[in-house]
Amino acid sequence: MKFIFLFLLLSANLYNFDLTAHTLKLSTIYSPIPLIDGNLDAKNVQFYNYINTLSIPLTACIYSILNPYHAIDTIQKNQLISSFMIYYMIHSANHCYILHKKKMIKNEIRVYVKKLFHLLIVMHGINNQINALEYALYKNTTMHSNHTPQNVMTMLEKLDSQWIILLAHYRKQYPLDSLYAYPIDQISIFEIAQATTFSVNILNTLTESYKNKHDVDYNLIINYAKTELEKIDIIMHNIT
Amino acid sequence: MKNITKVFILFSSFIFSYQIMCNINFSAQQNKKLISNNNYLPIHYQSSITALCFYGLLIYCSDSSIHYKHQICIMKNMTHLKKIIEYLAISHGIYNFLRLDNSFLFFNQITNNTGYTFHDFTLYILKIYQELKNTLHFFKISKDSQSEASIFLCHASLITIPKMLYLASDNPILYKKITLFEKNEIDQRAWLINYIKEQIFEHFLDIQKNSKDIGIII
Repeated sequence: MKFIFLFLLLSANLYNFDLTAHTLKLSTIYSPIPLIDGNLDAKNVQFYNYINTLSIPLTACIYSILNPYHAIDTIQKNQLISSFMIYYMIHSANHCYILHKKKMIKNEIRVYVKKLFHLLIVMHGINNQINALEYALYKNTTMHSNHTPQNVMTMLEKLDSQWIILLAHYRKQYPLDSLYAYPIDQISIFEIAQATTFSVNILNTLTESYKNKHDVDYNLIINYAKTELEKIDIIMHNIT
Repeated sequence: MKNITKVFILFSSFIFSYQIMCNINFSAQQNKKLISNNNYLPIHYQSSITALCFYGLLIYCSDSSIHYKHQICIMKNMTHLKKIIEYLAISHGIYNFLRLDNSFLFFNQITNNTGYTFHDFTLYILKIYQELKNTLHFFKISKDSQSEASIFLCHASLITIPKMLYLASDNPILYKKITLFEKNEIDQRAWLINYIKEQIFEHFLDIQKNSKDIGIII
């Protein structure tokens, strides 16, 4: 009996679920991507991007200027080495193509992981704000009421379950990637501000809510989350 | 993989420089012969290798420049954050030394020009620092081990004058003022608070200026 209880406790710990809650609830968000993107502004690296784009045509120009013979003549003179070189070139090109495809898929999954992670942070931040307001109300009036709107709760549950599926898929594909932990009860306006890079309007609404400590209309963010979740659903369906 | 890339780059740069050197230092006779017979120089006979080396060096230079810029941008912000954390710790030390009754008023006067309360400001600064460390780790940017050397864990109520002096060891003016402050010179108190306030605000402005480049919203 003890053993079964221990096993249950361990598995609950491992899967990061809260046993006391009635519904399945995350206590910490483990993300393979940190909250701050850290990518440099495109203007700062414009010059280097030009160099990267022009590198292949420039190399071709240099080769054509320097090459004294035609390529066909060189191949005809050194058949053995040329055939080996061509074989090796095709082989490495194929390898590079596969690597590039893998990188593309990883980047695509990362984009969706990032989107979902940011939505999750924002929605949990809203939930924390609502809970804080509810607590303040409870302290003043000694009346307790379930203040969280139903649509926020429903969206939060959907996002949580989608996140578990997406993270499991990501971890299966890339088990060696590091994870960054974000405790849900500590998500505040700072985390929300970093995650709300997708819309200035939503950021302003949420900042106002936090500063003036009052409820705002969350329909804007919920509608946005709904459309994004539908897109992620389609992508996940295609991937899995 | 990184080592292989480095070896490849070193090898290609060696060949590239060798080619250029051959081109420059070719003996006069050979040069004359070549030019008179074919109009070709050694660099022409190994055009594919030269072109490949040129491509490798071009890509390596641009990539490493972007990487360097990225690193500089993050590290610059981290340096400012560290400085702010030091000043916040010193202000805790001043409070501990004075043992004032109203802690709220004392601390909030230090950060009132940033628009945040002292508590929120400290929390945000620590969070940004942690996030930037995560970003460095995510982009696999190696960090100088010395940059972590001055970090130590200490409860705010235990920050005393010796710890304040240690934190101000790279700033002779602040160091001198803290020693005077220890001798109960009343004028130094206002000066110290104002100085810390100004320094925190300056570093905060710098962070705000740099943060847009790497997507931090403060």
